[in-house]
Amino acid sequence: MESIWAFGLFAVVASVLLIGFPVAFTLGGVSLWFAFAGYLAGWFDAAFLMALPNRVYGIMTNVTLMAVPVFIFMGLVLEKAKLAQSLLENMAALLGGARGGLGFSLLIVGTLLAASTGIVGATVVTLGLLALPVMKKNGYNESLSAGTICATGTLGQIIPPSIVLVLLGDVLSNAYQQAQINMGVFSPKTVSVGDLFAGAIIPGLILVGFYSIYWVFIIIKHPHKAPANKEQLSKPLTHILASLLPPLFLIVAVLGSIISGIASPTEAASVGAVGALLLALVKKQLSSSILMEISRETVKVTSMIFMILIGAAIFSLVFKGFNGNEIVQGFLKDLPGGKMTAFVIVMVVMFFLGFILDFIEITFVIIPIVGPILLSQGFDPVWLGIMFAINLQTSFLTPPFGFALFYLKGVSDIESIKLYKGVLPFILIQILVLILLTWQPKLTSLISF
Amino acid sequence: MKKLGDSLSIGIIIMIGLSFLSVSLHVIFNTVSIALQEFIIYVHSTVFMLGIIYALHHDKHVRIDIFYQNYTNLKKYKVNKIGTIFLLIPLFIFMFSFSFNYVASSWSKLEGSAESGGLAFVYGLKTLLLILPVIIVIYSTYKLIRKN
Repeated sequence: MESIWAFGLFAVVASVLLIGFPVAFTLGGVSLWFAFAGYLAGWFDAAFLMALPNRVYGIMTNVTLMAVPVFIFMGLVLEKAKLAQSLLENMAALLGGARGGLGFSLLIVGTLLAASTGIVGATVVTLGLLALPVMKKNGYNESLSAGTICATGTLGQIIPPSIVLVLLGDVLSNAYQQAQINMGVFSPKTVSVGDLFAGAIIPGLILVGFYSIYWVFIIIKHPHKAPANKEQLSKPLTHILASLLPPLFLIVAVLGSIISGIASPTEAASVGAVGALLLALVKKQLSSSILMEISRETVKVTSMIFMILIGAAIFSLVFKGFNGNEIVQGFLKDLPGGKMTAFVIVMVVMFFLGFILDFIEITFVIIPIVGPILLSQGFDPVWLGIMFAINLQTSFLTPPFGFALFYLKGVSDIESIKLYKGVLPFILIQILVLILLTWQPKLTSLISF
Repeated sequence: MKKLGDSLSIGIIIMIGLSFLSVSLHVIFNTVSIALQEFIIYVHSTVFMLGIIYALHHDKHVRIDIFYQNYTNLKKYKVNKIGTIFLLIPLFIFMFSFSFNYVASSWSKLEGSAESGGLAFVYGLKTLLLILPVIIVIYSTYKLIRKN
């Protein structure tokens, strides 16, 4: 009987979400109605909800999550500073003369943007607006260009410093502590945002490396899809370096200070934000009205994320009150094939949930439920976090519901079928990397401090 | 609402400036100010708690829009009206009533920071748990009535 309540809660929340009322209020509101009904029917103990104010206060004073607005601010400043535009122009000037050169420019710029801004929607839109027309004009295959834009645009989730990894770091460290307490470990080990950042570097670079190999393959096998530019602008090398170095420096400074432990994620992000402001000032792209605009946007996006956190906290309290956690745990524990089967099931479910929910919701709703179970079965938290992140990135690329595809369609008139064809090879690459990381989990722990 | 947004935006800039100051103090003078760090937390949580209202005003709370984006304006309006009455308002009434004792007990002992050298206004910070629901319920009710 209990399992009906827990399962019903999940199913009803998911269906009501599809109607389109904001996610945060739907998560919290529907859960509360369920708790109320369960309470009247004698299946729910209202005492579970007494923990709510303390939960919300915990969210308010959570030091890790404080990095979120600062990273958003930094990303928006870099976006407004037209970093993407100048990077793309300069890289194209450097590489455009070679066959497939624009493709590699796109890969490099996409990777740099992913690392420095980390805002998935914005990166796909910016690259779509800037790069797609230029590539089309120079005779690049449209499917190939669009696929590359979607794939590199979503890299922002994986390549640190990324907001996604900050959120994931917070949730995973709670899940890890809980898993160890459940196992009777009295001095639990911790996992930090820095650990996740360090772990994500190699897998992120592997993804970019595989994308590049795919481009080399195209240039050799289908040269007509990736020609050299017809007319080539040339720019002095110093000009090109001058545009490449500042973002690189920002990334290294932010990442270095977090991973080495000199600064907390918030502090490092604030260094990045001040650096980004200086960069925007030097490029004369900053005024007080732009600064206020960026700041207002930061307030809105941050508050939206934190409201989802509050809604998800209510959902998870109610789900727990209906014994949902034990039910899921019981199910995942007694599977034939042991922990690998449990892991694969979670990954597949998460992949499909990625079609309707975005990263924040999945992180705060699903991972607190399945995280402790998988972690107590002996999976490494950093590895697990990175597998989740790559899995969701793949989900966002997959037709017909992938978010990245919607973003790109929003700013270009590409036919859906061409777009789907274009992302397909990249989806295969993502799966290949997931398999590679499962086979060689050490790849996520090569860099650590 | 514009004033609220502008003050919160300035709050964000202050928060980033102070975080930068905090890390500079740490790196250059090797000093850590607990009071400063806690003040940054206060600014951050005030900004996002009140920002939830600002984001609501600008319809910035993310939706799953697979179907929603194809609705007519009338249908969107209905979804929002029904959602506000049955999900949003009950949610915040609940948050208010379940937080009331929690905040009241903090006020009754004028709770301060658990850290030495920390700020003494934890009871003030916790009051946000009541301020947010009150404002958001008033705001949503006003919007419902005005639109009719």
